[in-house]
Amino acid sequence: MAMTINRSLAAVTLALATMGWAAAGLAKPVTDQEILNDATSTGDVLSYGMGPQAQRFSPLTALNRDTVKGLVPAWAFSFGGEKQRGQESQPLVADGVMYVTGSYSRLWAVDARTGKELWEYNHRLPDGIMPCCDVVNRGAAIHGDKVYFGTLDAKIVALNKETGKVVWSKALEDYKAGYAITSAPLVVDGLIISGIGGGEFGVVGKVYALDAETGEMKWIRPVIEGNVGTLDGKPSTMTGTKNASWQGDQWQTGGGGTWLGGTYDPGTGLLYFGSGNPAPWNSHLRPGDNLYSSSRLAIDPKTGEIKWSYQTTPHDGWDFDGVNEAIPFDLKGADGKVVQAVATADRNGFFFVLDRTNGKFISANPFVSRHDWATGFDDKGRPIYNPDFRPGNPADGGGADGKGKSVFAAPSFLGGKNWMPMAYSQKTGLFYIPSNEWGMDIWNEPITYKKGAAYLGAGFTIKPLYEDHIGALRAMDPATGKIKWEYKNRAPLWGGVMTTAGGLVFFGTPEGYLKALDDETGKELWSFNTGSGVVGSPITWEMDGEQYVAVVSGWGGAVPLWGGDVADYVKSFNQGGMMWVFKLPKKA
Amino acid sequence: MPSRRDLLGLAGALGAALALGGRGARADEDLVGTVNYDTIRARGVLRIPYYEDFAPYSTTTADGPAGIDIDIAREVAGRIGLRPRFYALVAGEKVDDDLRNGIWRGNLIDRSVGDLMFHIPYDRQIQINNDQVVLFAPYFEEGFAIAYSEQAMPGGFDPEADGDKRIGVEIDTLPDFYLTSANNGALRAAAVHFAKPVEALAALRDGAVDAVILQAAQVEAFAPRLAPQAIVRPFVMGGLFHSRWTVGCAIRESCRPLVYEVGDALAAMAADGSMAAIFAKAGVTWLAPAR
Repeated sequence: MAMTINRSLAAVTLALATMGWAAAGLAKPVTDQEILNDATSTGDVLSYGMGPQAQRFSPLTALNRDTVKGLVPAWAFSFGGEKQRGQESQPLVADGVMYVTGSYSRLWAVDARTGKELWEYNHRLPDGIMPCCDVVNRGAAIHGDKVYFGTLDAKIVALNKETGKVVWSKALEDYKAGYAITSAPLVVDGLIISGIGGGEFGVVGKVYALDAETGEMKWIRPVIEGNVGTLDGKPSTMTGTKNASWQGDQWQTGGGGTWLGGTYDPGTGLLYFGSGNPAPWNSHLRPGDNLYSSSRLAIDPKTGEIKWSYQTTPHDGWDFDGVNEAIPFDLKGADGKVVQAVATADRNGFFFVLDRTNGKFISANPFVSRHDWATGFDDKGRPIYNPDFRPGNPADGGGADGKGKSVFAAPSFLGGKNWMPMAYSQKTGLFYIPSNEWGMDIWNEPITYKKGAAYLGAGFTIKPLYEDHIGALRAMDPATGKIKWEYKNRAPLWGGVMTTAGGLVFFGTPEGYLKALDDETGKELWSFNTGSGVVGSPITWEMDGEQYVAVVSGWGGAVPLWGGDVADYVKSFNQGGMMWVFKLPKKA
Repeated sequence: MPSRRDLLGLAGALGAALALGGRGARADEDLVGTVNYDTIRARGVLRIPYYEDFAPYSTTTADGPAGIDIDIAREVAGRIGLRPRFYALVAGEKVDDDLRNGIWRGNLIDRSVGDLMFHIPYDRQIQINNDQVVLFAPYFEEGFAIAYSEQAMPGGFDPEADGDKRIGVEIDTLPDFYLTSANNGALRAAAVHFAKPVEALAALRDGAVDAVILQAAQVEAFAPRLAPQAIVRPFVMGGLFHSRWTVGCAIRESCRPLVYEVGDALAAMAADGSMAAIFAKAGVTWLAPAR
């Protein structure tokens, strides 16, 4: 009997060897090298951001300014059920299979040619999850024979990508403390690298690296000074210097959530992660820069050590969370020299270019029309604050009902740009930034809330700045800081952008449209209404000689929950949960 | 003429009968969508979200939920003829979040909503901000207390001179903000932050801090066990800080008739001494609400 089994096993092995993975009905494992090459391989999309650098640029040209008008739906796939809400996901495509995540921590594998569902993984969520800003998920990661994603109860789940069965599942933190994962994991050299979101009171943001095969924790890096990281389960090094920019023991509870994940540049071998705003909100309670909150951090993926940091909003007092993606790119200067740079469009309304090898400040230019809190940045990269626009210290009074002085300041706390990823075109050398024009009334209160004891700590109301638009997609030249063109949208932009060598810029709107613009002029060339607001991130790939475009549709996210006056305009948009796939039909 | 209590008892019996009868067992689970007074009566079950990690008021033990608010809730439910069903609620950043997750929009996962919440600040601004709920029936008054070591602070706490002491506070509470902002932050470095009140009191016992400032009930309930040598005084903060506040209940706007029934039950409990007895069982002094 045993012999028979051995013989059949041998036969299978032999068959695999001769026929290859595909012929045996098995998808081939995804290698680290394939992930590194994702940005240039056109037949798949293996990572969030369409490459570890997250440039969201495709070299494909079949779809271009001339042909895009012929783009039509190929298939659509409903996420089904009653679990709709925000769909901020970006799909992956590997070996003819699409992997897409949805609201409520769900993941589907779908035949990329037909839209037929292959399997669904529906994560069993506990009652007590507390995601601050809707039950979204931004996407999966893929490596070897597994597909990975983060869940609203703060776990990373590894599934067999053929069957959808759980291989391992690891809680990074306790969801009961308010933690959740909404970002897509990043894969670097066999490690799954993730940030974390949430944490209601007294937490410190961290970056985590897990072994892709086993889920074992390799290292943890806290992003606030004074806290000690771990490596291989043992204490490693302290982040920064204790009490250098935080007083007392406030560094132990200093905030800095890492909820949007990071990018990776194989050239420098560094991870680029953003950290959230410091806690507590009232900046008068924590004098100093409050390192490394509201910062971009370069981290060594092997050890979790911070190689450099740059703080976009030192001593934040406006909730200018610093998590927005940092995109590595090659900056061509006027003298023709190429600098290894990294760019980021911050909540605070400024677009930063840094040297990605050492974090050296190169430039900061506004990408929104108003930036009250600072007039600009000096040569060293420090903001030139406008103190009139910092919400007042409640201890000084001056506001209504015992609040501190309230100010109206732009951008709002939802940012000149929020989570929605921008794109960089290697063809035009421009960044395409989904931005919003809004300000806020903001004030600090002398009181806080803790389970039944009094309430609040700061307050805000968001207000649009212009009558005709809030959203504006802008083409920014990173070399000059000049905006080449802008495309205005009535509702706030809340989805990702993609650009292609075919001269196109794709993005979605809350009104339900997926649109394609000319990358040089911003002229609208194509649009399609998906039936619900688009807050997902589009992708493109090539299959059977045809170029496909896909985007998830489903209105939700932070705007309808937080938007103040803005929410009144957007609350009538229909919810949804649908994967839309388009292609250019072959000429008969 | 039958008393109000008799009528309530009758309504309760009717509700129980309905729950067992025509609606079937699923009536208990009819929790999705708009729930009004009649549907609660029909199912005979009062759903009560509670804070899981909030001793001595409410906590989850091996035997189920326990604490002052849980005891009060059981008693109230019994007096109005409904069966209480408790479920834990994770506290949000603002009380508005708790009201949204607890009793009007409901749970994100199964979209079920609770009916009645205890331990909600009875506050005009919170009522104005939350028009889907009714805040009512303040049933006690809470404040802050300081527990200190006599050796470390022989004259008691002095905000002008104790910047070099170590003072334990629960993170992001009023005492925390008081220490970090009063007197231009002179006490900022003195604040030692703890995630849980019992951890602060254990630190006082161990000499790791010289004093702790917490909610009075937490000090009263845990100091005798954790830091029996400590001296306990009410703690009143100057300036803009609230040192005392009133705690009541919240219910969905569509269940307004329950406001009167629950309010009457709580008033009766205050009058007949059962309220004070529930607090005393937890080692806490019951203070009648000031308004």
